[in-house]
Amino acid sequence: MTYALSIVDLTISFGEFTVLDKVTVNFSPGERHAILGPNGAGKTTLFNLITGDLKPTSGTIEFYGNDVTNTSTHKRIRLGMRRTYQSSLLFKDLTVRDNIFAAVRGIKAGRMKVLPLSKDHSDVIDTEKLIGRVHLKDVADKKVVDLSHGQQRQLEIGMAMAGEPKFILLDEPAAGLSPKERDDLVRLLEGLPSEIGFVIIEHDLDIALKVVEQVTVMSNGKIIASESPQEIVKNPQVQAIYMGTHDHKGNMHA
Amino acid sequence: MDIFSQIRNSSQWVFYLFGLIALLAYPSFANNFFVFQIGALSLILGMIALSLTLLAGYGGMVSLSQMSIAGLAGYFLALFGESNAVQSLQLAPIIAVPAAIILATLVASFFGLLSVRTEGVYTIMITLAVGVATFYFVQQNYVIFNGFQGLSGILPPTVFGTNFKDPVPFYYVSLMCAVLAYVFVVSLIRSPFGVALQGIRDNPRRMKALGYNIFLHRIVTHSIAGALAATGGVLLAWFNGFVSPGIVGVDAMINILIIAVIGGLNHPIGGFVGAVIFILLQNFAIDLVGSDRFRLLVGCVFFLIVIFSPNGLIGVGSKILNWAKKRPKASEDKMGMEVIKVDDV
Ligand SMILES: Nc1ncnc2c1ncn2[C@@H]1O[C@H](COP(=O)(O)OP(=O)(O)OP(=O)(O)O)[C@@H](O)[C@H]1O
Ligand SMILES: [Mg+2]
Repeated sequence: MTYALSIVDLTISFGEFTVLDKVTVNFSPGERHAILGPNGAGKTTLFNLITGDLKPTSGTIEFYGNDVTNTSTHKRIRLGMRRTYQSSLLFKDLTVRDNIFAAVRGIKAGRMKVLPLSKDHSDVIDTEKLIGRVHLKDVADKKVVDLSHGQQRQLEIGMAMAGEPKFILLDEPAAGLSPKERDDLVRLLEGLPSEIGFVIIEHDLDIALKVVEQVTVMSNGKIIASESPQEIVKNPQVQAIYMGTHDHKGNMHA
Repeated sequence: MDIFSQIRNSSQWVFYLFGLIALLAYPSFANNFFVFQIGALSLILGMIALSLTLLAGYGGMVSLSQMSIAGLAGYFLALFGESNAVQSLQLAPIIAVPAAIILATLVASFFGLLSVRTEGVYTIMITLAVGVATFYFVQQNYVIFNGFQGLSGILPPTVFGTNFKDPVPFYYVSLMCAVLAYVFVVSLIRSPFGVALQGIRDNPRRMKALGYNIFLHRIVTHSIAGALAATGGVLLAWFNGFVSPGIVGVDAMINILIIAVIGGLNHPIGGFVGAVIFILLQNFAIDLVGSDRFRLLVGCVFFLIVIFSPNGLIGVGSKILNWAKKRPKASEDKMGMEVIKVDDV
């Protein structure tokens, strides 16, 4: 079987400092997976390597059977990979609609078109649909700077859902959200078509364990456990490093 | 999302209509000097500055080599079309003009290729370097570019008995090109390409993660801006009747930057506003302050604008408009403060 993502011996060092050390992990198509781990464990760095924001020192990354280790980011995206960013990377001076529109167009062949699109162009319609799906209709004409934090996170996810994603990497999408916004997020993730897989980095176990079937725990650039949510809470190694010992970002639940 | 509905929906169309009428009627109340030396030249330099506005304001690529492209287009025109140059091919304008613009556009694409992997100040340095290299190249190459003397005898065509070197016809040709270029850029920045370009300006890393090939986008923007600058360059060669290394010198390169910044980089009209101010200063401030102090004066205007309105004169205009709108609410005596605070990001 081909994995959606197959990561083998992935290593990256900055000078003397090895941030990821021979990480090997596979994700199947449609799989929903959480990554936990303390600050600085290398979770975001793993995402950056998968999307090509960073180049690994050694190791390989395969996406649906294609070796993408040396492929440029935009080509990986066109293969169906998507991500959100931990600290939001939105176009602050553009409207919500233009942000979504940019995402909808990014994977389309006509992205270099120099003529404006007609109002009934399928991409214009897709943009409106996507705005509705992430509940941003009311603020579609607002600039991103004028949105609340929660709305900005929604927009991040909306942009990752554009086109036909096959696999989405979500970097702490719930950080800083209110309880209600968290519920909305859980519903949004649960509502994704079943063939779309995702990996979610999440400190809030309530969220992570609700929406995933597999949990991987990282620490110091290494994977220390990869189990089902039920087992992971019982794993003594995980409990020692991660759970009881310190209250992580104040939202850790034992 | 198309530009015309945008114009219709807002009150801007009144502004556009009156602007266009005023520009069309201008030759009927201005003398030849104002029509040609001020009017036509402002439109031409405005077009070249517009190409920089597109690159810098919308693409985040501050290129100093736009004047080099314009100048090279003039050189190519002299080489392909009718001119005094012995090496000229003496082709008809209908072939020579597009050929000159296309070749200059290719050069611009090449300059783009050299600079798109750089950011910020490095882009400025690289484009300065290729611009200076262009200057020395045309100055030291005698076989093709005729060294420091340049090439002369470049004349606009006579069509149906109208000599386009005459001030009024030349003005209208320049106006037509400038309006087309302006409308093109305004619609470009609302197009998928333009939205993407602004995205790449603000956030290149994110754009890659949305599937955009950002280097290709930047190179194409250099090509488009190159075509605009080249069109301005052809008009400039006709305006002067000659091309020489001075046209692509560092002074001229910097002037385009000054024009674009004075006018304001965040709207396509900025280049034209800046060009009018610059040309007026160039023609009349010299009488007031003397020619050696002209640069000092331009420098001061530049300085004041950059300090008080990062968005150029366009920014000043929109601040006053915003202030006028807000006036009824805040009619206390904070007027001066208001003007500076509004919309100041
Ligand atoms: N470009 C870089 N250069 C040097 N060190 C880096 C770089 N990027 C990340 N690091 C280091 O790698 C380590 C892992 O960082 P990373 O952002 O992947 O952690 P994380 O698991 O996402 O943590 P958090 O929960 O805080 O988001 C950190 O110690 C960080 O300082
Ligand atoms: Mg992180």
